[in-house]
Amino acid sequence: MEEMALVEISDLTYWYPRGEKPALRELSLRVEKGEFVLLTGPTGCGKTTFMRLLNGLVPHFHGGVLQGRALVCGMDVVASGPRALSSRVGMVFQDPEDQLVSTTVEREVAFGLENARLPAPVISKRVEEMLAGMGLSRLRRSFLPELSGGEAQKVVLASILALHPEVLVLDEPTSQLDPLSSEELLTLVRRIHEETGTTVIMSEHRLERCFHYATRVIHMEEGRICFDGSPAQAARWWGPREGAFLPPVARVFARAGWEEIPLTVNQARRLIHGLESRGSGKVEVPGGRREGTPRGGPLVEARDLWYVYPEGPEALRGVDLRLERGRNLVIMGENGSGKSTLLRCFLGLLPPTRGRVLLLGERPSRERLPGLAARLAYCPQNPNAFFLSPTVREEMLRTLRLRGYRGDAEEAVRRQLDRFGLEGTEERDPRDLSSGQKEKLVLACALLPPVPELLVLDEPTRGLDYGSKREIMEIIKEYGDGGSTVAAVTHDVEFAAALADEAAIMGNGKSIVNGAAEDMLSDSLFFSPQVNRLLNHLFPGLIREEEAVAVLEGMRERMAAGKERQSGEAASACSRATVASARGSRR
Amino acid sequence: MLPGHGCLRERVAPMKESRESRVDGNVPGRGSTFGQWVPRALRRLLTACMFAFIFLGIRGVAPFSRWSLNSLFLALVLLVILFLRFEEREYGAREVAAVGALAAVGAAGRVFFAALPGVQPATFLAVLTGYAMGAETGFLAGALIALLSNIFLGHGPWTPWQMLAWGLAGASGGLLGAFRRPKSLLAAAAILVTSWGFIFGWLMNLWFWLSFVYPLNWTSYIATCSTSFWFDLFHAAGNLVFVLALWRPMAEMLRRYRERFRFRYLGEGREWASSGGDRQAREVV
Amino acid sequence: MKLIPVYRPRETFIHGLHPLAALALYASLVAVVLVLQNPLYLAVCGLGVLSLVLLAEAGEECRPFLLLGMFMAFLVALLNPLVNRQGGHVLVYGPRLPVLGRLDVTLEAVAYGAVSGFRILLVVVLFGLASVTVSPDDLLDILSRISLRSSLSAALAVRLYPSLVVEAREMTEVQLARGERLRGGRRWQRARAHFPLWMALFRGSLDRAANIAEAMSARGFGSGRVTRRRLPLKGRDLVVLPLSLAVAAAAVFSSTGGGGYRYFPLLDNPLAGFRTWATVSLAGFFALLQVIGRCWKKWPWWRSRI
Repeated sequence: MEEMALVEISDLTYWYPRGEKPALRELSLRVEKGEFVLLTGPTGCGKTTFMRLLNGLVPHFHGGVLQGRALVCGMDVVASGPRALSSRVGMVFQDPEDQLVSTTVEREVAFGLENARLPAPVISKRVEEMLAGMGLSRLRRSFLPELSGGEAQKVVLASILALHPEVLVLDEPTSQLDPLSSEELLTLVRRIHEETGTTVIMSEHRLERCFHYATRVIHMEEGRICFDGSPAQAARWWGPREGAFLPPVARVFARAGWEEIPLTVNQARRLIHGLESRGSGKVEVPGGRREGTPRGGPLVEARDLWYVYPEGPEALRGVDLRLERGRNLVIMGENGSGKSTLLRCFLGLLPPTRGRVLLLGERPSRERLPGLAARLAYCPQNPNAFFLSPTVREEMLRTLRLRGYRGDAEEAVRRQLDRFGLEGTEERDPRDLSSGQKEKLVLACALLPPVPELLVLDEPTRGLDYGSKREIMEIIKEYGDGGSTVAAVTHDVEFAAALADEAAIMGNGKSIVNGAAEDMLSDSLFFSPQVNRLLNHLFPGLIREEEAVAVLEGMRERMAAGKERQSGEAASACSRATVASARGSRR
Repeated sequence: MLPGHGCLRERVAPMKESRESRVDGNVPGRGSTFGQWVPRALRRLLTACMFAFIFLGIRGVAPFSRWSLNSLFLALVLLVILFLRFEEREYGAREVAAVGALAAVGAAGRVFFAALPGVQPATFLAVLTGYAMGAETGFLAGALIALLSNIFLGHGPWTPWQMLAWGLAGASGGLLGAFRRPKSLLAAAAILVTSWGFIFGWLMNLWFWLSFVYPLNWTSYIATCSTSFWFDLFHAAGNLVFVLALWRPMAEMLRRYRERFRFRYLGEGREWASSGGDRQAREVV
Repeated sequence: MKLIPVYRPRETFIHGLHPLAALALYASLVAVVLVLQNPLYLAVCGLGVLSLVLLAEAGEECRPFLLLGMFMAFLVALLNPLVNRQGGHVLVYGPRLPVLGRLDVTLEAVAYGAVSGFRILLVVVLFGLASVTVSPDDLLDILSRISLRSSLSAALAVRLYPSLVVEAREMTEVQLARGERLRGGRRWQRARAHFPLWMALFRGSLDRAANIAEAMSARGFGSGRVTRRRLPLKGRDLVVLPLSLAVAAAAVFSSTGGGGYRYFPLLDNPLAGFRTWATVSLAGFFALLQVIGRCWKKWPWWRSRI
């Protein structure tokens, strides 16, 4: 008899209660000990359901109808349930806020162990080992709500690992974190996999960190497994399919039609190595910057802006920023650099301690802000803070009412829903939508007529997969091309590169640098997108994916034609032309 | 076990398995029976003591008739008894989480309205919880609202009394289950919650009166209550507004939260149902 | 809105007590204050409580409690003369009122009111000191040994509260930007604009509760839980705990055994019921705490010993 697999699922179909379509369809899968499985797929494809199945939350916690067989660690999931499985299958969910149950770090780590009714000395030992191993000792007695998102998620991971699970299941563990803490967390997961041989099953949007490391990639769509293989195979499989679930660098190669697809910047560098040396060295990218169309004065202006929290830190220390009409400004910077404070000062939610803010020609304040609702739209980081109504339709009608819209409201709502691909959700509760849909709904509300002059976005792509991100990017850009203006705070360099005309990088309460996006976002280890890190030495200032695709297409053609010698000058001229045309088509 | 499923040992095993899992953690199952037996005995003992105490106090036997100290003491004992009483019911994860969340909301509401004398949503929330989730849960939520909000507002000798008063308000919400028609339910809720505005104040005055006012008679009690009249009136009026504006939608949200889903297993054509990992519901099955 | 609990951790002897010992200390003192009637004893207690506040370096944090206590004391001092007719020395002959009867103010009632006011002030400050110096978290820990589920709910509530406050702030800001008139305008309109916001917050916290319940089940909640004893009783606790209980017992005993003080119909002479041994032991108790506490702060060796 063959050795039993760690996870063995055969012909499993599952419906959520009230679910019309099954969330999992005839799923069959084996996962062996020690694998690192990366699950990809668009929102609603059944990834989360599959993960819940692994420790019995589906069906024991969620109810519903289930058919088929699922064995995890030799236990039948249907028969065992989460209590029995909890010490074998550790589960980390998206939002740390939704998982912490105690008040202090130490107690949180002990929670699972206490539930498992381990003897006290064992509990103490494991708590100590986890705190030390994860670098949390310093925070042992900290009050959990005072931790940052990254620290909180680390505590969750520690409390799961304390149980010494055989399988570690992570459901988009970094979707609520900033890039730095995400990297830290993913590195930690890799370390755990390497050092303890724990089987890891993870779904994740930040593919550039884990894709190449996974031993196996599984892609799901509509409750079925569409692809199952090694990362390299996955990259090739995605080749002709636009590569939505590949890391950015692999995606540009896939989109440029390359046969061999690299998974990391390093591999990609090696791939294009021969081709770059044939060029004449540095190539200046001609023109292509979106010209501002300043009409009237600046929409937002901050002059020597200071903000000091009462009894708190100096969050802003003399910021000077101007946003002209028709330009898109992206503000980046690490946590605590004052980005959010700056945004709140722009909106008048915080009164400047010193200096001056002008928003749409007025000095903003909490009292004046509602009066600006027709001219300005603010999309918060957490879409749930936006929704007040029980249905999507009412939410949009409310927005129209607040904006003082006088036309046919129902008609406007219908048109907007069609435009944003949200048909069929009219009567649903906004809070029950998927994260991508929520973000789209917020934007749909924000861009209802009368179209706002200024769009203020706070982390619009947090927790979204590439597909939703792209749709949202399209919506925002389309809006921008109508001559309107965006001010966005984001951590997402790819998004920033695609959107920004101007970028400001904040640090220590100051805007350290600001200027054209191409200058700001290129040639930086942490703030530039992968494509820039790949191609910056050839094309300084190249930050957008479309441009990179064009360049790589050129390279591929040359390689195809490549055996015959071509002069370096011709090659660089060719790529110069394609970059120019890509930039042109973007306008 | 369910009839006709003897051949399905593996599948019907959830009950067995869950018991095994207790043993799984190296501690024999003794803990659970111990855990049930002790609070019950303790509660009975305390109840007996409390009645004896009150009896002796009313008879004027010396250490027991010092109402200033004993009232506080008795309130604490009563609180412990009620806690133990409600602890005996088993709660699932969903209840525990809901009580925590409701207590947090109530406390936040109290702190939010701290500037308006008397007006706060805690009473309303306690009664609503009692209605939607049962008297026991209502008591727990009410008592926790008091305990928690005072962690932020500051504890005082009033804390046990507030816990008691809001806990009882929550428990009284369970009475509203008798009303089926939405209109009469709303009316009953409005009356109950509004009157809790006053009852709460009177309960709170009780300690003040017992400890620091002399002599203890109706006149002095009424005089004590009259000092808090405006406060209680605002409290009651606020409660009425909360009920009229928020009762229906919030009760609906809680109802939806409480909805428990069972699952059906269609493996090999046999079916059995079980709850979402909750013992009571499983016992129903 | 206040985000931080009243409790402030500090490095003092009082903060370093085991919560049970600290609670015993405060509860005993509350009992002493409530049971003793003689104003001279109460004065000793007042000084003692003051010394404790100083020992705990919590003067700043105790100030709001002091103010609140003074307000309540004022109420008590006002109320008692109005309802009490038992005193022998009438100071003012008042008018007849429907419920209260004749409003005569007597010297005894005024004295009783003043002393009662002082007592309520002391009680409030003692409770205040307790909430400032005893970590609510450690208290929950003790609660969890009696009652697991309610303590878990309580811990959850403590944890959820700050995020709820943040969420409420965020939501207010977003809705302001959307044009909801949450600021300015008529009072009633402003209140009306808040209702949907509260409902959304309520809904949000229920959603969060559902997620937490799921995470709890995923970590094996429900099969009963063992709790570890995390906080051992130390030497200082073994000194404070029995001593405070003894002081409380002595106070209760002395108040019943004829050591009481009468206000009505005529005031006793405070010195008549005044016993030296009782005063000395009460004052000695506070002094002992001071000495141990100061030494504890000063000498690390002593600190490590107890």
